Amino acid sequence: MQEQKKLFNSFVVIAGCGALGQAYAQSFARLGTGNIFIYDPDVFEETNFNRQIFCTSSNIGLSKAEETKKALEKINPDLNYHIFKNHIEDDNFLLSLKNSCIAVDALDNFKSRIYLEKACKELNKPLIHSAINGHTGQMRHISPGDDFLKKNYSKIEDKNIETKNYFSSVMIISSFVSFQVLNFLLGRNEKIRKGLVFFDLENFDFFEEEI
Amino acid sequence: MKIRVKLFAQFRKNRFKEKEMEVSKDTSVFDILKILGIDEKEAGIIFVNGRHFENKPRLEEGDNVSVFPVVGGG
Repeated sequence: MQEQKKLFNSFVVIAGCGALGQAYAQSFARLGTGNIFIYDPDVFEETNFNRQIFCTSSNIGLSKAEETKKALEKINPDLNYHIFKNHIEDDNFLLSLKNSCIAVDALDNFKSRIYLEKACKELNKPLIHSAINGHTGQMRHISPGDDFLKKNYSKIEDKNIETKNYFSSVMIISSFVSFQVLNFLLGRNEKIRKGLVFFDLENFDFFEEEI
Repeated sequence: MKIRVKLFAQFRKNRFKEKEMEVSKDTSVFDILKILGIDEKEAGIIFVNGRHFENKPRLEEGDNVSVFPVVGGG
């Protein structure tokens, strides 16, 4: 009960509301995370159907953030969902981040990811980085100042990113990230995985960075 | 000198999962990518001995190098 109250008083910001963002939003809503901020300017396209949980045959062309909010309100109407149909680079994002306990990276490009990492560093917020590609996926806990994304991805050109993504990868990485965020919000610090977690379903391979 | 290289996901295709390689002294992680025919832009995270390679511009005998492809979708 005490833990549920803690979750109800928590603030989480989800950067990006594609396959990963929607899965995280659902998970946080079912956990009873009281205040959820969601940022995404995009609308649903037919190609999203294979992996985005709130994409249906009747909402193609509609805002992902808005449709996600509608779905979350049906799942758990007692929480506060704040949606923003703009990029995280816009000013309002910093205000949401400032009010949040933790940020989750569900973006689809490294330019925005590196911006998000910098914003989290400046506002002293932890960030959970996550990404998928095909049958692979990864998660990394980024403490302010780690500069993990800047160090590894500054030279990566976003146009070279392949995005043939599958629901199976979304489900695995969203389980990892949801549990990570839950542990953080409840202060179970000993359970937080600090290193890179990488999986590759094709080779059934799991890797964890030792930290 | 001998080093050990571990490749992840699609980098294993037509290459290997894990292999001991004999390389000359002063070899860098980027030299390893070149030897293996991996485009620097396709390599996302590179670890030396389980950590980011920034403090290890030159490899040493017995080092373990892990190379991950870019994973960037959301």
